[in-house]
Amino acid sequence: MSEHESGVCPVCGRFVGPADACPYCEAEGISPQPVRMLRWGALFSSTAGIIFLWLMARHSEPAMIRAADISPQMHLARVVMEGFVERGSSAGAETATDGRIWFRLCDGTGSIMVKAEGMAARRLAARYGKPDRGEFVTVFGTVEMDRRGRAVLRPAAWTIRPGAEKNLRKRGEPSCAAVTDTPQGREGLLK
Amino acid sequence: MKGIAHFSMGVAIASCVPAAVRSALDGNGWPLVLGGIAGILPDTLDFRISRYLAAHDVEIVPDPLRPDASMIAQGVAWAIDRCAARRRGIRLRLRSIRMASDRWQSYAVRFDPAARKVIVEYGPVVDPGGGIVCGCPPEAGGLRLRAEAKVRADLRIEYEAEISVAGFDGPLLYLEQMKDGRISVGFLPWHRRWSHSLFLAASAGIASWLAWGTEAGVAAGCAWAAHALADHCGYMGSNLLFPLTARREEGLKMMHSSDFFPNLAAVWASLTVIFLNLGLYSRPRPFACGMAYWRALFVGCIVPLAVIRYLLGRANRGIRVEKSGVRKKTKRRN
Amino acid sequence: MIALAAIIGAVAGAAVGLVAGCVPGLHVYNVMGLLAIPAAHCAAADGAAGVALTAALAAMAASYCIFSAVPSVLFAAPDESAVFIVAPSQRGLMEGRGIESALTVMAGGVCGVCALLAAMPLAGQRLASAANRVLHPHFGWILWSVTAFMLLSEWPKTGGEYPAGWRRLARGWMTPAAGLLTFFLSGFLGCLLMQRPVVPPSSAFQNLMPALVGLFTLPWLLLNIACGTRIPVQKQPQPGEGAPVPVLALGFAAGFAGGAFAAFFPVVTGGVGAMLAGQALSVRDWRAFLFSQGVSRSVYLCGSLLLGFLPDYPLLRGGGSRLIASIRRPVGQADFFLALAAVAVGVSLACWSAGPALRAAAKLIARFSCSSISIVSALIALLLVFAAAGWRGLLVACVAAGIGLLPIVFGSRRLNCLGVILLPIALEMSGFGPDIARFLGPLP
Repeated sequence: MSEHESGVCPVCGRFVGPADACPYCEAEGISPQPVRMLRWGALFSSTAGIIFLWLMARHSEPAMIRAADISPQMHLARVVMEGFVERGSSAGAETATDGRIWFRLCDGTGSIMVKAEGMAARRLAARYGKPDRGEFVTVFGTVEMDRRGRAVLRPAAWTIRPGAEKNLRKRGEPSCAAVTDTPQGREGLLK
Repeated sequence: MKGIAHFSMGVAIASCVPAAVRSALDGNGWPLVLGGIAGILPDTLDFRISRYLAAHDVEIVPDPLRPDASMIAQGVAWAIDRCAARRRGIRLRLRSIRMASDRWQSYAVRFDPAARKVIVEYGPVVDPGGGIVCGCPPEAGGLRLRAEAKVRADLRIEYEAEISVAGFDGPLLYLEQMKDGRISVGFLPWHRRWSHSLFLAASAGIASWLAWGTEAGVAAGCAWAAHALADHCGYMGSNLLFPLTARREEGLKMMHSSDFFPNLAAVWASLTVIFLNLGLYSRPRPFACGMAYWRALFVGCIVPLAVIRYLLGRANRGIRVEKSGVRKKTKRRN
Repeated sequence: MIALAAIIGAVAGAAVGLVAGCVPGLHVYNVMGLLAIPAAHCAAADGAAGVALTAALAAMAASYCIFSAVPSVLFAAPDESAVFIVAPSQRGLMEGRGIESALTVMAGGVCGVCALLAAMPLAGQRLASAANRVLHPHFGWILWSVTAFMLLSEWPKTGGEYPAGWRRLARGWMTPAAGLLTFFLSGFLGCLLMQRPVVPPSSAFQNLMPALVGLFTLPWLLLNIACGTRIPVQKQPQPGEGAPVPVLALGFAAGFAGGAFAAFFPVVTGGVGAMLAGQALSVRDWRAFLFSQGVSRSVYLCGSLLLGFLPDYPLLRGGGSRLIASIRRPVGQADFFLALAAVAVGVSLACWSAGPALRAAAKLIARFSCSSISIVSALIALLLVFAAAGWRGLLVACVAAGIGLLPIVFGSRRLNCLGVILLPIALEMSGFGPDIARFLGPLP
């Protein structure tokens, strides 16, 4: 660290702050060495570090979870889930005229509502197609908990395998039709 | 006016376009955002570009360690007389005196047309908000903190007679001889010279219309024009008819750009209008339209602002005791 | 039994909040998260235990928002050869008025919470529900508007020493350009973390913690260590030295408006709200500014938490209310008044402890050098990051520290670091989530 007073030009003694050249006596190279190192260090570490993190991200996989694993602490968790688009009276992939896509995804341990709206829905439909009932879908998206404690999966991408016979149901596990929604948080003060 | 006042006014104006609000409801709020951006862009262009390209002919650089008001006063007077002698405009820059990262030694330059003199006086050390940190520096080495210098030419004040220099770089003045021989002292000649024109507002509107559609064009054009017209209510004025005219026209002098109440009123009214417009055009409407809109505007905006204005007026009304002992009411500027 | 559990919980929570507030780099949401996860799995979270935990978390937030002024004012000393602008609290510290500055911020926090406790029962429900019904569909573009204003309103600070021309323009653009670079780098970091989290899904609320520690806590500590700043002896404030009431009233109004805005709008934090309100109300006096910062922080933290307890129309805003809702979703008037009471207990204990805490902090900085305190603080912050997110979190924190240093050494606003949450959420709200996911990496 320079011996001169913080921010003051060592030649003329006037305040110059972090400037490298004094505007009064035009002396050059007056900012302390650690400060110059910090500036270049910050520029380098930030840009190179971001590039490195990006490369790391490209080679990492998000976690795959099941519907039974979802808890309220998973709000905004980025996950992969796969399952069948559930059959049922209120289920099925529907596209409303106002550009929403939603369907219920059942993986044998539970089910979760997958919802996309507006421009995101239009982009997903255009790029990946719209899932139909019974199709096997792998969804990459974000888990969101609404104010009633219900989990919704906001998709960023999905892969549809139409007519796939992959059966997630193991011996003893309930079928998708019998499974209830994802677990909700406990309610109230006196219950 | 302040940036946030212009920005919120721009969004408020954009929200008055029904198509823009409906577009926002459909997931495309860009026309409303564009209104805010167009509302603040004139000042952004000036303070981020024009300011740095505005050259000066004469620069006065006070020494932070040796406060010398006479040097500054003589320098300003010399520039005025030189302008009169050469009959050519002179751009004079007064450098600010920086004492620390957030401390400036303030000084004021006052032009006295009646007495044909320039008066310079050192003030206290101030922080970025203008608050006084410590008093005036001590006079030392024969240097004075207050000085006057005579000028030979008659002066005409374009903006304000007293210019305070405290903060950032320091102002640029433009000295120009008028047809009647007087020297006009202009403040910040690069500001509002072309950016605050109705022509540019129309251009912004047309460019936005071509790029993003009718609602974006209307929002951008009207927001830009509103900025120019709002600034014209102040003292500096604007060059509204650029490129047809080359000079700034004097403002309506209804307020100063940094005055507290006009800025507060602009922001408050804008936010109220935005909220009511979003509610009005939302489907389904959360409240009935018609009289309810205007009643809500009256109750939510006009009444509270009127109360604040009244309270501020009372707070600013001071009592000055004359030497004779007569108490007179005076009104300080808010 | 329930009432006793609530009182015990509130007192314990306030004590934890007091300690958390004094630790640099530790945010109350991290502590709340560490408690929420085991509680969510514990069957005893029903009944009295759940009431106690809810009260504890609410009181913790309240006392934290008061005590967090201690490290942010007393442990962040600037070196003028390195920084372009010194914040008012830092200036106070370097002039020996650090205790006065910290007290001003804490007093603002107390006043903000008191006003909130009065306003919420009277008007909170009605105002929040009406505002949410109108504004909910418009959150996306409002967030973009706030971001645009934040970026466009930054004025250049350098370049005045050069003659007019392109060199001066380039020099003058150094600060806004650094601000834009900071915003987009931090935004890119936020997008990366949201697409490929560094923590397991069950700890998703901790995902941004390494980035936030790196962006906001580590840079000042690194600067202190590198530059060897010396903090002068701090004076005890004397009676009568405070700011006049009208000045503080303006600060209060700005802080309350900014904090309320931040509490209501998702993603917008207390700092952004304070910036907007401070500009709207022309807060210039440094004491009013500090006071408004305290008010804004407390109204933001406690307000966003209390919105989740509104009886008929709860709004989950901020990490605090979501964490509480993950244990027990508040229902009805009883939970609402429980939260109000817990916040009041937290603030009361904070007021009672403020004096001793400040004296202890002043003795600490008198006895140990700024570098030593900064080294210890940095180690604590890094330890917390490692505990929450492992070695990957440490890596993220180091990169974020580099980004967080940019505004300090180039003179731009530190608020630009909030791009880490503003940009990814704004893109997501505008429907660009799928495009961002494709851009950032191959999809699974």
